[in-house]
Amino acid sequence: MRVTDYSLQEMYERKYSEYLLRKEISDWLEDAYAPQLEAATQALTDWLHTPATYASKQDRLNKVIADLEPRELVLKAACMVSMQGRLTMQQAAAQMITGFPSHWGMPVPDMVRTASEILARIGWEDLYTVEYGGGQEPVLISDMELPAMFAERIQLAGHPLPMLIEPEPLQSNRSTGYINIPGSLILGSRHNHHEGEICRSVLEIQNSVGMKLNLDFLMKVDDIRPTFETQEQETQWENLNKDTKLIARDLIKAGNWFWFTYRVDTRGRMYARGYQINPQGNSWRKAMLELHREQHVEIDP
Amino acid sequence: MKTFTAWQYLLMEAATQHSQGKETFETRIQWAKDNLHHLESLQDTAEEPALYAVAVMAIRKVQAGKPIGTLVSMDAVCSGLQLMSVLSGDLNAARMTGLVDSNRRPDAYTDMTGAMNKLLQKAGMAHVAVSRGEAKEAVMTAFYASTAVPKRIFGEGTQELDVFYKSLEQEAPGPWALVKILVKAWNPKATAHCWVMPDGFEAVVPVEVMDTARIEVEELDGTSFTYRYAQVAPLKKGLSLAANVVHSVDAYVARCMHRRLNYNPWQFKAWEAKITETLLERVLGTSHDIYEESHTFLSGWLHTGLVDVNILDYAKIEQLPTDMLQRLLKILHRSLADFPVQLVTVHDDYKCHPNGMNRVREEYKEILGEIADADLMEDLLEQLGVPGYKKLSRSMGNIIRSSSYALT
Repeated sequence: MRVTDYSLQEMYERKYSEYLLRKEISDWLEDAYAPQLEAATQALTDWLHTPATYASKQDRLNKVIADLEPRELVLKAACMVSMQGRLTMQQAAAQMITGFPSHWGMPVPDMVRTASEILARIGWEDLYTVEYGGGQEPVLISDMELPAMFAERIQLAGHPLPMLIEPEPLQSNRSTGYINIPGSLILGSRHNHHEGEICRSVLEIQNSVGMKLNLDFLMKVDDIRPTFETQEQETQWENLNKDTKLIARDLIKAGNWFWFTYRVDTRGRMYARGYQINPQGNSWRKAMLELHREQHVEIDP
Repeated sequence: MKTFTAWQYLLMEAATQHSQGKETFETRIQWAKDNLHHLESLQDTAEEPALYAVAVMAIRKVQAGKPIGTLVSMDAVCSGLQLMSVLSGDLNAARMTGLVDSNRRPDAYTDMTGAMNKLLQKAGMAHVAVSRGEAKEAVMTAFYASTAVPKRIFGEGTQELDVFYKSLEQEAPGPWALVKILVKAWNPKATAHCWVMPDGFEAVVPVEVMDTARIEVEELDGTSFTYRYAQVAPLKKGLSLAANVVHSVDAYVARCMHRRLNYNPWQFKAWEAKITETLLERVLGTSHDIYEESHTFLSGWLHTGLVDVNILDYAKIEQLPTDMLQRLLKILHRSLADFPVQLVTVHDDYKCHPNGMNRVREEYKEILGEIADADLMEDLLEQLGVPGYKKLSRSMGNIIRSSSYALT
């Protein structure tokens, strides 16, 4: 292992990890929007302790009130809305309920109802606005402004980069190979995770294959621009193309020697992590990748 | 099996990515040789321009005497159908998917198109010609239990649809019967379908049902919205087992490939020495086969007759049965006869340095041969509550081992 690579890996995990980015943005919000967060926390606390207007709502809140930390809920909501700028209540509620404890044993619609009420109540303060009415689904629009230093990271977060050091051993089905990025080795919904045998040793074999980018290729060949039916499709393609090049730049600057980490789906099929640069990407993305370990090929006489 | 040099694999890669993927290996090599001096000028007409460009760059690097890390790629011929032909012991379906040597580049979709058009002709419908594209889409999805796609392509209740299903029964009776059995294996009371592969991998596939709820938010003046969500719950009928079981088998094949190709030479040599010593002691009578059937790690072997080297990670060699050790020794010998090969795989697509492609092709066929000789499907169906499955043939192993186009 190259001497400085471990710290470089930690730095890149911080830079592109959604999990770590959320933590950093939360810390930043706590400074920059302290009065608004405080007001929202107080308002939410008051709301939780105000008798509900109908009995079933009160019963529902009674079950959960002991587990709800108003400050955490406000921070989570603020962080989510500030990162995404604009999202529907359905999207926001779906993200909020991922943090609700499973021991509530509450049906999903009741959890979503509770999350939506909390999000709506926080929206009365000055962190974000909830637009609703006219038969449209409620939309949360951020009133917070994040500094530019987060913009690129928000765009690229959520799909961890290949690693700059050989991935860590996979000790359990909840280890990922990364130093600080948690998660399940079984892809898909949270229902898919289990602690049974998933042949982690094969994932480790795959994780051990060092790769690099083919610089000649990257300098000469760009992705083929497809025909777009909408402006949105074109923008998405351009963003992905740009992001891929940004990540390629980072990987090259870091020495152009990296490792993919793999996970399985419920049937055992294996998938490399990462979105922009991935051996399972389109032809251009496949073509830019080669083995770091080069070998000579003899030309037949 | 026809083997090739690394240089030939590199030439083949360029030809395949340009336009020659449906040709024989020899034709592809010849195409690249014929065009070797001006491969760059053919860039604009390549079917896969990026992958063609990178193959040509690698060729030029090799010609300049430089080492390369370029990956060459081979994938299974109609992977799903190919594996189902092995699992069901169907020689004709195996032939269509490259597992029987035939001196031609196999293409199951072309064969199925031909069979369907012949049946249409026989039925007095010579005026109806099914294209390869139509047949491909319908065949691919039908073997994963879709009825909607064939209906969309050939029409509901039409003679063409009848002919399509007849051609499946005629050309691939084993896989087609398997699809129907796997659809019936769906358990309407289960919240997950679970089975264990011979190497211990536990496939646990929860049954997720999509539901919707109307959410009214008092704090937004009673505004409501629809929330869609998945929940784990039993489902009366499901088609996904056909695809899921076959995908679990292609994943098993891929795992065996990674273990056997990208192996640790010190570990493999140590295992080889220990197994050789143990077998020798048993022949000499100084030790005995003392395995106990109750060992959980023997379950896969006892039920299917399949084993892979990962069993050596956690079992004591002296406690394993002799016939299993002999099988393991063969696997180790094959691996150790060549250098480790780094693999990059996408399910049934195998990529490696050109120096390793002979080993990739050899071992892939070997693993499929092992499955053909074994009782994998019997075991998987028994685990899913459908005992008594009998495959059409149990003697395809060696035919598969001597084929050339399992991967192409």
